[in-house]
Amino acid sequence: MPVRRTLRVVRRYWRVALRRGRRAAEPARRAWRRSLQLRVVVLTLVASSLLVAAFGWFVADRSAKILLSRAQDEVYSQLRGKVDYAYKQLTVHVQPRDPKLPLTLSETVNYLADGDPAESGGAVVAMRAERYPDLKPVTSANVDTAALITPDLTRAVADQRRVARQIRTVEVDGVQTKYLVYGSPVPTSFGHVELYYLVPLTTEDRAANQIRTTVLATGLALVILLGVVAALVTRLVVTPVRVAARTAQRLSAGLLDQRMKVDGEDDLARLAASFNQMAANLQRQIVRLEEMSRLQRRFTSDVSHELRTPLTTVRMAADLIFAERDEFDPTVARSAELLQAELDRFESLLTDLLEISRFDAGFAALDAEHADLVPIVERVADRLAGLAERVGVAIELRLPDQPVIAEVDPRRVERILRNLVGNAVEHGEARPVEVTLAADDAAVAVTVRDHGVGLKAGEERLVFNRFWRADPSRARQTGGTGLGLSISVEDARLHGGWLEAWGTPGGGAQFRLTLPVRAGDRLVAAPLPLIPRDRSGAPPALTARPEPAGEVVADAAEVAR
Amino acid sequence: MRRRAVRSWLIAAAATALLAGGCGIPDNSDVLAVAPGPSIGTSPGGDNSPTRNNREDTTDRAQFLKFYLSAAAGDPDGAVGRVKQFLSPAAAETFKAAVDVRVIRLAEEPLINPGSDQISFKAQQVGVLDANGILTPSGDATVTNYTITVQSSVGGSPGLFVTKPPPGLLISDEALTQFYRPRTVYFWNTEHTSLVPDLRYLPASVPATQQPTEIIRWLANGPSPLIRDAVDTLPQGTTVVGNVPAASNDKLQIALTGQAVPPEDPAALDRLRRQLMWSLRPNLPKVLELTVGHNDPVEYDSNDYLSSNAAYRLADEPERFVVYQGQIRRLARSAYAQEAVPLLRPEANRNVRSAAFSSTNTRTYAAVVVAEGSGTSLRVASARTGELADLRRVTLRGQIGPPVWVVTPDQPEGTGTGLVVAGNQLYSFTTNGGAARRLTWPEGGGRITAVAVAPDGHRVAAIVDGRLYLAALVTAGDGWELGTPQLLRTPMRTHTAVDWSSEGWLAIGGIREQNNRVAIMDVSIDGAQRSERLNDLGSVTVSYLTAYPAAPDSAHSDSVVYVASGAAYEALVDPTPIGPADLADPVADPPAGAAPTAPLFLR
Repeated sequence: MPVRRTLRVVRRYWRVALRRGRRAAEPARRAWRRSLQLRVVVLTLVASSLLVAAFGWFVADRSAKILLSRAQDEVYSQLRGKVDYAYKQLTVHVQPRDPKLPLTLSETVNYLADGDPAESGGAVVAMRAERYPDLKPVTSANVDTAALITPDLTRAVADQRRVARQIRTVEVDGVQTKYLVYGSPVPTSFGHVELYYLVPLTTEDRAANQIRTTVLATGLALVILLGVVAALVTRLVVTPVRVAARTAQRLSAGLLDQRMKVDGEDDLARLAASFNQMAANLQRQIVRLEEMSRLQRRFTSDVSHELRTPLTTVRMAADLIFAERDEFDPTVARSAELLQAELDRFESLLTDLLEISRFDAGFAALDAEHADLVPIVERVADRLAGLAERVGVAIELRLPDQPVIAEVDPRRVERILRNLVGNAVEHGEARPVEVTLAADDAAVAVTVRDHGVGLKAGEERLVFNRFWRADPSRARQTGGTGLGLSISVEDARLHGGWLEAWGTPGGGAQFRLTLPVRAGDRLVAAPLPLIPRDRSGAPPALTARPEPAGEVVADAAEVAR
Repeated sequence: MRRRAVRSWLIAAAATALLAGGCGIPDNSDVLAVAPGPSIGTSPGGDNSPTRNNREDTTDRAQFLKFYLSAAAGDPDGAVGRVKQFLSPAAAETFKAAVDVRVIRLAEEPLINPGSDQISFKAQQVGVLDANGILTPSGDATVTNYTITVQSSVGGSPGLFVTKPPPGLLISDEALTQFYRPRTVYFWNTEHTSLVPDLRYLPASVPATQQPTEIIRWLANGPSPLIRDAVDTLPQGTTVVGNVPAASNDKLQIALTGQAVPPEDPAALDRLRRQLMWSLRPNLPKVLELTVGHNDPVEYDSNDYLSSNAAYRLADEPERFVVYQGQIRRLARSAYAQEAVPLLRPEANRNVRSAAFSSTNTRTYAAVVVAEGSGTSLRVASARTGELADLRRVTLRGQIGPPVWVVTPDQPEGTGTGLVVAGNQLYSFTTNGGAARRLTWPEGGGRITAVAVAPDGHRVAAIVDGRLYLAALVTAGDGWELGTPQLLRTPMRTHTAVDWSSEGWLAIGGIREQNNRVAIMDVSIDGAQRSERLNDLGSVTVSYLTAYPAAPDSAHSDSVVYVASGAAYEALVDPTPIGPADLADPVADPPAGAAPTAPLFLR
């Protein structure tokens, strides 16, 4: 069907046009969405245009009507006088065939037109006798009244014997002239003739046009003025808001000493003052917290350092005693062994504390180099093989065949992985631990999966806290220092990476380390899922959402930096 | 939000378009009936013009001639056209005539020979009637023979046709009376003391509603030649604006151009309205509204204008006197019959031959011709009404006829003149006596035998060499002069006595041309109209005649007295002698042969 085809074509073109239009209008739409000022100005312009147009129309229309009605009243009253005069003049003729009647008609018309300018453009008086064809129409000026006195008007005046009026526009000497045409029957002794009074509305028309032009110009000026005023007022309001937004942005970026300028006592000034107060409070709080945190870190660092010297001495003494333990009685020897073990623990705790305090102090520096992660994973697995064997856990490695090169600090990555795999083996409940490595263009990820007791809901965040234990009653014997995951998180953060945890009670846990391939790149996604593939059907309530976790980590890293 | 904005823009654009184009004065509109048309006012009376007979109305040649001689009568504009209706097409094509109409009086029955196309008739020309209704009497008394060729069925058309018309427009005197109405208009005399009548002929076809317009047009076109020098014309440029509308609500509205009255001249305006009111008297409703130029209209509703015409102020009942045995005596059955003779001291009232009394509002005038030795002398006196005065002598030579006063009711104090015929010459005298001034008759010599002054004091009828003349009295310096006289044709061969019967008619006495009999009759002052009074007085000459003029609305006086063979008669239905018994103070023993003579009226 050609119609349907045509319709289809039309619809297609319409769509294309619509799309193009939309594309062309896109900058405007964007500006509309983004600028409060533009919106206010445009809406003001629209509303004021409507208002001014309606008002202007009303004023112009009313004034034109008033002008016209005044002209009509005046012409009508003149007409009545003229009809009265013509009636009196014509009463003397008792017969339409009176030979003096034409003379009276023309003299009457001349008299009635006397005072009106005779040249074109002036008022015209015409007398006709439709009922008496022998009487020729008489017109005061040399104007063709055929177009001015319409058959309708003639009918109303001559046949229905009514005073009637009409507005007509005709061309007189090449100029379009509006005429107000009044017609009235003139009773005579023998019947009636008709008197027409044609008055040009040139003055009224000009006045109406001038009023219209004035109203239009005034309205236009008013609209523009309102637009400008709206722009200025909006600007007055929007500028401080913009300043506040910028200041808030700077504040949030850490420039805590940013303040808004307070001018006057108005609402905006109050806003600025409140904002400044808020900023000051925030700054004070943050500085206080920072100070406290600094003191704490300093304390830790100082304590660690201060402990180190006596520990070295104690260590030396303990080493001596341990070396001589065979010469002591078994009880003392046993004490020497205990001393030695606790000293090892104490030393590693101190080392961890120092490492943490180094992170806290911001002294930790990334020593990044291009390294293949596969051997690092394999090395970690090898180192922990002994422990795994001891607790009966198999470490399964799922590594890609190709080298996975990333710009990382291998020492720190190895420490993270050792920590993760160590924890997995430790909590593996004699079940296998799977270590998976994967990479894409932007990131590399390592997941460590165990099938131990798992984590309770909410614990996947707590695990990274310092000295956090899932079961506080558990002997510290089995655990490490309690700082391993904290240090790992700091290491990952130093890389600009993520370290996240997932777990369900009884379902085991999985940790994922995600690092950017190029140091300093921002991570967007990880090549491996945080939730293991075998558990992805688990209820979402028990899964830690990867994005927030990642963000929390990333944010923490940023703040720390 | 976006869609709403778009809609708002559309509405705004529409509103702007509406603002730009929707308001203002429309180019064209429908017909709107505002009010019903004005209602038709009361229609003034219908057409009362006399029936006019056309060419087709008769095949009788005598009647056809009669119709033909009335064709030109009536509206002067259509006169030529009406005459041409009677002509055959060929004759109509060449027929040309002036507007003026010649009025003729047939001297005999027209001569119609059976079988001949020619009709001949003898006629006397009465005068020429112009478009202003002025009938100028023709001084020519000759009887002309007119010939007119009348053929029947010219060019296949039925009826009679004039194929060879007499030149010019002719109407018979019968047509004049049938198709015209005499109408008197008035002009102010040059001293502004009285209105002077001017007799005109108004076509009877002019409807009453158009008469005011026509009459004002006449007034604007000036007076008749007779009184032209004695009266004031209306200022140049005086015309009626448009037509004078038909009177409505008992009000006649006249609008004149601003030239009609000099600015800031209330006296001129008052004179103008009195002149208009008198001239329009038959058409005048209760109120006259006069608008001059752009001034406010002024309404006049009183009858005070009537006093401006001297003829109107004459008493209804005249005071009549006769001279009996050399004494002026009052007649019985007249006003103030029991009172003494005015003005004259009783001792002065003797040897009187004839006399004239006149009175104004305040004064009485007397002129007495007394016998003095073998001759006569004229003595005059003037005093406040009711007072007596001494007579003063007027120096005159020759036989002195009866004097007449030329005074008007509003005559200023100390003036007042009279006319008298002495030694066949006309003289004027004043109340102061002294030498009389001779008024030369403009047309040279001639024996003046009688003189009569119209009530307005500006028209004089005189008998010169037995012929009747009319002339105007024109002020010249401190006296009078005579304007160009007009000869009046009357049926009289010789006129012997004349006086004014009314302001438009004369009572004349003389010998009839027709039968050489003495008769007294009335003629209009243009000679066109006649009215018999005393048809046949035998052969006794009427030596003196005086009349008490009738009021302006009637033509003929009912007080005409005359003297024949030295005896006074009153012209009633028959000549009625006035005897001693008619005197107010009866004479106990009248001497035989002494009859009252020289009757007179106080005018």
